[in-house]
Amino acid sequence: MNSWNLLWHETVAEWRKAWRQPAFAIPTLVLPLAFYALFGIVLARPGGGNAAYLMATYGVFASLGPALFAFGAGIAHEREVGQLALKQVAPLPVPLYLGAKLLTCMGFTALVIVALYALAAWGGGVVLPRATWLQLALVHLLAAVPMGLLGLVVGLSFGASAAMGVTNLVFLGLAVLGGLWIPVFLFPGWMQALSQAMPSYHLAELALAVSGRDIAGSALGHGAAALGFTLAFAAAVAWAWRRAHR
Amino acid sequence: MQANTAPPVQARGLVRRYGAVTALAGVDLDIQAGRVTTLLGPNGAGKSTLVGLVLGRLRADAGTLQVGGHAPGSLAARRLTGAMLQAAALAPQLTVREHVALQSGYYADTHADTDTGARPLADTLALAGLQDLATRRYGALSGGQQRRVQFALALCGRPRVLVLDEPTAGLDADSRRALWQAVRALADEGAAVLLTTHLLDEADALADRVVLLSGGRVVADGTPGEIRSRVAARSVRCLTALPLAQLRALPGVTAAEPRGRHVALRTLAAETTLRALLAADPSLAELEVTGTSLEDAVLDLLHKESS
Repeated sequence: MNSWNLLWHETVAEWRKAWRQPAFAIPTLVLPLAFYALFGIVLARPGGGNAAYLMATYGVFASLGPALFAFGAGIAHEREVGQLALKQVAPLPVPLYLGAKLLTCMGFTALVIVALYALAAWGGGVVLPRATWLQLALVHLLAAVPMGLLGLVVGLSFGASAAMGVTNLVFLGLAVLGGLWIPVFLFPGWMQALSQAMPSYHLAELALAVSGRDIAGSALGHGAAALGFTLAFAAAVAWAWRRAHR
Repeated sequence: MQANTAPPVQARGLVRRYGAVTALAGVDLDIQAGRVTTLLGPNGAGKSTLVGLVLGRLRADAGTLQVGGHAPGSLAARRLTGAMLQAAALAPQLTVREHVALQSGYYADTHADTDTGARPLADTLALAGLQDLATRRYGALSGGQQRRVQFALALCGRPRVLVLDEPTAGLDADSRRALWQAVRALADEGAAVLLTTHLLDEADALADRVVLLSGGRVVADGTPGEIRSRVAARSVRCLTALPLAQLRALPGVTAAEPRGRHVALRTLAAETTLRALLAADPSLAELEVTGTSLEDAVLDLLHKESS
């Protein structure tokens, strides 16, 4: 069996694990949709453009739930009950194990953003060229990578109950300061400065740029920042994995 | 099955410390192919540390250790190894078949020789006695059944080195015997089995070789028969009115302990002891003289070590 095959099987197993815990999977899927329906459609001024703006930022928000809760806090639980120990002594290359988790994360994100786009198009009257939809989907899907890596860092660094608390904090920080719920330009200056340190902010700006909005700074700059965060989180995962091994 | 004759696991001068505590104080050990090597020893003797080192979950502070010629914990070493850990769990959401199939896939690309690679799924399930549970979710199984799934994962890759850390903990008598039989079959296939247990009857029934650890050192190493014969003592059981102090003073007696209504004596000179015993207590009844059990031998050896 080659590595791709192995990655596929491991991803299927991860997918089943997540999917067979509906109490865990469903809220992850529903929360961003419910929030978007409320703030992007129900409470928004008709024709104000909020539906399209918030669709771009909520797509990033959609990647947070699976990344941080299902897979970040999830791996802390797996470590605590001894599931991870068996994986660590098994002849499964580490990148495949973590890769399967990331792919599952992206799969969940894909489900949410498809539903989100449908909601925005039909409920919010958002109209975009076909190429723009695809570019937006690409940004939203790739957002799951740095978020998933961040989730793994938290999950590998804390015990199960501590990881849950830390995850909540990180989740809220990324959502609020990243401008996923409220646009960053409405923040006071000091909060805008904090936003710069949030990977979610750069991802959201990238999504807004792709959907044709004027943004602060260049899309290239935000892309570089997002890439920088991704690499930093990947390095942190490698470090945390080695520590979790002992 | 083995092209090379080097033992699959080779340890030389293995030392491992936890802060000020020395868990292993220089252990030399070869685990041979086709044999069941059992690690025995009291809690804190270093059994789990040794297992952790072989699996690469711990690093040695000194000494060398090789698993199939590879560094322990490396991917190459893990491909040759199957392991059942003491405190482990599997995802409760997946079925037995899904777990075994997934794990079998990990071993499938051990390409070098045709004899390795995972065994057919049905064979693995049969060896672990899981045929009837294949479609059940892991989380719905009893503790003993879950342990058997972990055993299935350890053996599915036809490992050259099979590490079983307290494999029968939590199993009922029937499952335990079935597992013994499977372990025997795997050793006969050529696997080097390293097994820890605190059950001496398990070691006696299963082991080709017993390695007794105490205080991080090997204090005895041999077949169960050899270990027994290192302790020449015999055991005497009887119903007697004599107080323990007087029994301990009888010629040849090394120990006397109450065992329910009976008293158990250990003696180095059974005939002399019995003559004195019968003379001292005319009412003595239910007399029984036995050879050394592995348990007696191990306790004696450990006692000798600590005194």
